[in-house]
Amino acid sequence: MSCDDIDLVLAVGAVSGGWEAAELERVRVHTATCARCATAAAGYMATADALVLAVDPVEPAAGLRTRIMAEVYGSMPAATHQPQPPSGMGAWLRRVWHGVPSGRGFTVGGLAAAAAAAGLLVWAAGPGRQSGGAGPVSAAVQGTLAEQSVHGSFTYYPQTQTGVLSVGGLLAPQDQVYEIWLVRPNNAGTLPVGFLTRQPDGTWSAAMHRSLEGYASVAATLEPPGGSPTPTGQMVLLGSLPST
Amino acid sequence: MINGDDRVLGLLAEERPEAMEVLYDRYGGLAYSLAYRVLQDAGAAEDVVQEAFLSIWRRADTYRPERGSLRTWLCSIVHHRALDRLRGRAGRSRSDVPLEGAPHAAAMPDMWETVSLEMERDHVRSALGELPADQRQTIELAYYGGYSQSEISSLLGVPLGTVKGRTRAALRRLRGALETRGLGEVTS
Repeated sequence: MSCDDIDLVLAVGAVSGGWEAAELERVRVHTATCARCATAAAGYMATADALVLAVDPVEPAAGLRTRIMAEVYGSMPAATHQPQPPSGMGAWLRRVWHGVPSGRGFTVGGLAAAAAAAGLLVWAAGPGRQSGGAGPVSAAVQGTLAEQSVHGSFTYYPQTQTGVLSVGGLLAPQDQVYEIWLVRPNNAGTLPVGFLTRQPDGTWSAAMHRSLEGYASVAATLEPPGGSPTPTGQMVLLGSLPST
Repeated sequence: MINGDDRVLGLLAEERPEAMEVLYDRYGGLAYSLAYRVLQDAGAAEDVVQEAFLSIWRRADTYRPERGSLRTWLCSIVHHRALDRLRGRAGRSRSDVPLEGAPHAAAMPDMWETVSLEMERDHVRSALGELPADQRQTIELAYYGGYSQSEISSLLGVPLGTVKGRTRAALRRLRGALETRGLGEVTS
């Protein structure tokens, strides 16, 4: 093939998502020895790549980011997923990874009982639930009477002991934070495990890296900036932890 | 100066999942917009974007900066997977080779990284709008519509050679227009 023939193939392939195998081989052979065509190829490719920028911006649905991140966190091998200081990242993640005291236990009078009595507790296995296996399991969380539009899920990856809480329908609080708690059975105590962080798509999420053993529920409350050692503010959501 | 991509690369090198959060926040919208433009289906577009991000997470060690920016890498994967899905859905599948594996990508300069995304968008849209109508239509059908050159030939009722010629002419003209706007330096 002449340089002109190859040039045409290069231009067509650049906008068509690739070349057929035979074409690709011809292109490879030719550009390996023809600097002019190799340069032309780079130009066509770069120009075609710029076409993505002409697309009208469309916002992805709320939750896509959370689903991707849940997969990412869940794919991490347990042996390599050691707590690390994520420099430059959100304070919520650093706190979860590093600074959350694991030995504290605090009583929350009537926390789960009140929610259950109000009919707010919703248990639903997510699509990824696998009974008796090491795959991810998930359960729904739901808003309290004060936050009835809140909905979400808690997905847990037993192999990596990683949990991802994803919530929609929450408004940004003024001068307060949403603090997350693991709650022991019969409200025998709570463990602060981090804060919900608002995502660009308007949803809220948090990740935690710890065992769920000894805990029955996950909840979030409104707390002063920096959080509280015990729940003091209004509870906004509650859900059962998925069985592992 | 450390830019956002450098930060992502540093985190990816350490296999830190936070890298994907930064990557999504930078390019998730762009990737989704591209997938949606090609597929015209929100659910399918989400699937493609999710697959692309997870592909990068799983194959981060194969990234080579000389092949182009992270954005180029991500959008190439999104574009290719969207076209695959489109062609599969319409029975127009073909055995093309992933763009990311093509030899030319290795020599591709990252000519677009230095200008902000929004400015780039304006410039590219303007440049595309300045193309002659037949060239712009050919490019749009091929890149966004996933149509093969033969299909475009049939659709428009023009010879295949004419379609290929328009494609090449459009890319050359577009490249010149972008260079005029200061978007990168392309040697020829």
